[in-house]
Amino acid sequence: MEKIDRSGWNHGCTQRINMLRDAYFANEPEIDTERAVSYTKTYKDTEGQHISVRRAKALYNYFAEKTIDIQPGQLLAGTYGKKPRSAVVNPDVSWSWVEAELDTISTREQDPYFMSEEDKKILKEQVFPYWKGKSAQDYFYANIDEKDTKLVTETSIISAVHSETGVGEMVPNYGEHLFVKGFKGIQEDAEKQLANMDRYDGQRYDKQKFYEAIIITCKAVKLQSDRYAEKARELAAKEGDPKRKKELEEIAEMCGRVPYESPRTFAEAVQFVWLSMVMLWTEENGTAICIDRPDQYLYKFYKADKEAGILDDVKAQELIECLWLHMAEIIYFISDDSSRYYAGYQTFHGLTLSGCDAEGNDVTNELSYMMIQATMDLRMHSPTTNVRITPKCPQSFKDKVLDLVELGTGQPAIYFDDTAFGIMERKGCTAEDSKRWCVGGCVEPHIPGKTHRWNEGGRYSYANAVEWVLFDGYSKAHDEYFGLRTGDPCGIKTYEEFEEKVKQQLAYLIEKTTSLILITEKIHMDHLPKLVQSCMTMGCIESGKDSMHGGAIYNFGPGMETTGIADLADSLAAMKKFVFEEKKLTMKEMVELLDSNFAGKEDVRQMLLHEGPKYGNDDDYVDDILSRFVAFAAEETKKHKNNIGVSFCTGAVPVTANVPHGKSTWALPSGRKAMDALADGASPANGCDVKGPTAVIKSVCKPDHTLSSCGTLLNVKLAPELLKSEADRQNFNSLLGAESDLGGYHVQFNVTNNETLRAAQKNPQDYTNLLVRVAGYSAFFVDLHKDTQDAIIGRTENTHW
Amino acid sequence: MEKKALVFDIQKFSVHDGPGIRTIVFLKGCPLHCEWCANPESQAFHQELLVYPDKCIGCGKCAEVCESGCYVKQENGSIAFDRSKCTNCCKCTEKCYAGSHCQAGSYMSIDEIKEEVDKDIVFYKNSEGGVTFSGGEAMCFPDVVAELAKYYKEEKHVSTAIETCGCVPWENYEKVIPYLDLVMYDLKLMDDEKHICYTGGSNKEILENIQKIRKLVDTVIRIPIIPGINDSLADIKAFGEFASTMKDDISTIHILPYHNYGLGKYHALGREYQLEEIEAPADEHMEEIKKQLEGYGFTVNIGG
Repeated sequence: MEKIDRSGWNHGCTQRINMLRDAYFANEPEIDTERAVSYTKTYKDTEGQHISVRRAKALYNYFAEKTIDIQPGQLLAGTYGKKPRSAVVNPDVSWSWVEAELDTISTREQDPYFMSEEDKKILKEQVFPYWKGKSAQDYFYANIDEKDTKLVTETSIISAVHSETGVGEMVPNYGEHLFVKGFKGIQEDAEKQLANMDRYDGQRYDKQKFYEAIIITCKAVKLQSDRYAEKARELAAKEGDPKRKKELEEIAEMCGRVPYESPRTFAEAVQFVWLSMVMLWTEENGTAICIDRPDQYLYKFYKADKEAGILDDVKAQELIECLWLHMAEIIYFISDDSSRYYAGYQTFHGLTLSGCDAEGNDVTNELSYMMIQATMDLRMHSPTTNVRITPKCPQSFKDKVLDLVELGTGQPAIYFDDTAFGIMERKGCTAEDSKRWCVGGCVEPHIPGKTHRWNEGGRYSYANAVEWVLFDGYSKAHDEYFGLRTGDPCGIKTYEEFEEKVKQQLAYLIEKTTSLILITEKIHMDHLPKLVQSCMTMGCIESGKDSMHGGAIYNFGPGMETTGIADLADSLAAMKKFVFEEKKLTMKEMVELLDSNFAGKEDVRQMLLHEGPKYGNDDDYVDDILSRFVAFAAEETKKHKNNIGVSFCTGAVPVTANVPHGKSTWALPSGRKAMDALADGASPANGCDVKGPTAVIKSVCKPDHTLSSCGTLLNVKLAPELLKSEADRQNFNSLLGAESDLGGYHVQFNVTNNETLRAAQKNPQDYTNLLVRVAGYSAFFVDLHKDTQDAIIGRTENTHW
Repeated sequence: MEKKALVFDIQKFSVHDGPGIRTIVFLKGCPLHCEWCANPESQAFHQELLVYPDKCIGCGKCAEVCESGCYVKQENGSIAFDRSKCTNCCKCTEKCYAGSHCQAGSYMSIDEIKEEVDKDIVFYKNSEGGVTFSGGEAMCFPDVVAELAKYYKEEKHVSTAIETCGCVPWENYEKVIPYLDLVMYDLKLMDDEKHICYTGGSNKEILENIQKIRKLVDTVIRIPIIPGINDSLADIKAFGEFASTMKDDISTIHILPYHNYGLGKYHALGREYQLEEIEAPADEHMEEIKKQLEGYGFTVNIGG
């Protein structure tokens, strides 16, 4: 792989930040075996003990031995793994894919990790032998049959995400919980509970062990920060530069206190957040651990420190950017196959800014602006910056958001409060709690510290439901009958009958996915209790239950993330129009056409593509079908209960799953060819939205978004020229206002760059919706003459990114 | 009989032709034929066939349906198109799913137009935008535009605007003006001889109509800047002086830089493009013109 040089950054708020960002990219993602070795040792030493205690001890022992350091220039101590961007091996979760990929992991195409020969040897000799048959993934495969094994390992039709990875997926509550108690307070609560156990409680064994484990976990938290305090003092003693010496002494003082005790200053609060994040990640390598609403819970410290004269805006900005850089250091350690779903070492940990308080007042403050600025200064893939837009959001903050949109990094994601409230209230949260919502992952709404949910329990794609009706359950891409045998499609006489069969297949997909998630969930309950998470989840200590076992205040069932709803709707619309209404094709002809992947029938494919109604163009013919299926899937999903008896959730969040799902899906009546990517999230199929962003937003907002409690995702592509003038910026705001009025939940703008424009020139069929501003007007890029396109590319080239 | 209009496009999310987010209804047919026209398919008052050979997938359906014998199969299997036989019946476009043959202009009823424009009401309301009638020359269809503009202004309470070349009898404007919030009025050349030469029509009526319109409705002057044709110091001076006579009512001038983005469409119509040699004006040149016109006390925008 060619190494991309990213050094010489100069947009950071200070030179320190530029230096740290350069250092970040100089550190290639590298395999770290320390946790694997340490956990293996503790597991061996604790055979037979209660699993919660074993895991707490493993965590404690690892922190006692872990290599620690403080990066030159960093203002915050703490690293996940032995150095920044470590890919930490978690054999307790899964290991066999690591063994299988030992020799390719350093060179694989998507997201490689460097692995030394020494680490290979360590894993082979000290780690793998112990875990044979004992990792979560081993337990999973031990409990499914051969066909399901093939389904989850050889196809991308459905997946049970946490059979291979840790979970994560939590949002702690800093302001009202962790900052108030500190881990010391949590430890004391556990000690009190332990001292006052109900002697008649039949579950007191589990509870007792849970509390013992919580106490060890809190001690591990203290051990980690104490070691950093010591390290900082050691470095300070050797430091020649008096300024850096003082910084290291300050780090030592901070780490001597947080996160075990409550923070007193802005810097301590930020340090608290980071060290507790490291704890969560160390417990297991998961995704989507988000840091709540930092502009809110840090604000009182910011104000007090400024008033006391111990903090200025430059220092505050630096601390924020130091935290941002640390968050980007966390690497998701996943197999080659999974990396196709989560391309870009993406871990989806993010934060949410702005929004309202419990009374509904807009709470945008100085830190909201500074945090947007931090994302602008760093322009990295992480942390994900999410923004809650309330109806009373100040114009200047919307402008700031737009400044970030304009940079073309795809950040921030924008959310509309009313829809989020609707989702949370539908799930049973109080109106007051709903107002506290924030994003926990890609787009999934959470109540910080109070909700427990696997956002990504599993995935399926709607498209297979149509495919399977047309092929009687046969997955041609994999030469296997994975679907329900719904019979010869030529026997279907009416559109209604066809739609009914698609619903049967969809119900089957949902059932199949939940059945696999139930296994993974039970495995995590039994073998991977979440102790750090339970410390941070309100309700666990009071109830004596791990967060996996229902300890949280709000328990939501695992999420079923979906792709291809647009492909389903477009395909059903095509069936309705061409087969059942206009009778341009018989069912037999359609099946043959798809079976041959349109071979020799490009003209018919063009008819399906261009004459078939397509979702994303504000056309009720197809949008109604889509709304009906969103509601059906939500209703069907809700019927399924998880291991603790709460309903599964649904959402339209693709990550990059639309690509592998596409590879498992044969040709569709929409005109999409076999193996091509499916539509992402709630977005229209690629190239099928030809009426511009207003039509897309109209279509996307037709289904009830509050039914999708895991959230829905909409990507809109815009050219940077569309955001230049004052009038353009106002129009952008109006676009948001309209989406909010229409009941939308999320939108993210891809401001396209030249790379995209060139790709659009090469493959215009995939970019038909790409708008560019040409002169005094806007046009669809692909409609322009080649020379004109070149001219626009040439012009955009001059724009600084 | 139900009123129908020949529409060649309804463009949503238009943000440069009037305030806010707008939908533009493009009506087909124009009294002028400006050589720089970026929408040549907007000029004729009848439907026309556009042919884009690079989109052809060679299915041959066009030859099967054509009754005029326009399509001749070549020895190498490809199909040649003979435009001299074409009657613009556009039957071939119905079977051309790949978009190699496209029909410019189709008749829509008032209700059909409303149905499409209504869809974006929420965006107009949020942005104080609305609907703009353009062309071609929208004012060649005063009854249709009046009915639609009345509906949007009085029933839907959204902004209504027209883009007009001015070369239309005054009574046409009279029918529409009561229902308009804004007129974007084109001036192309002050010299009548040159005007006739480059646009195919005199500017006499144009210069008279604007004098009446500006008294009745908010009017913005729009000048396309065509290098070598209307962008000399003297040309701009002439525009500036003429506009100055209307300063009581007009405060804004839009100058629109020439572009040749319509080139592909001339080829698709089988027409020659007269201005192949002309290049878009440099940004600096547009700035100079802007300054010159600002010298007359106008607010000048480059682009819409």
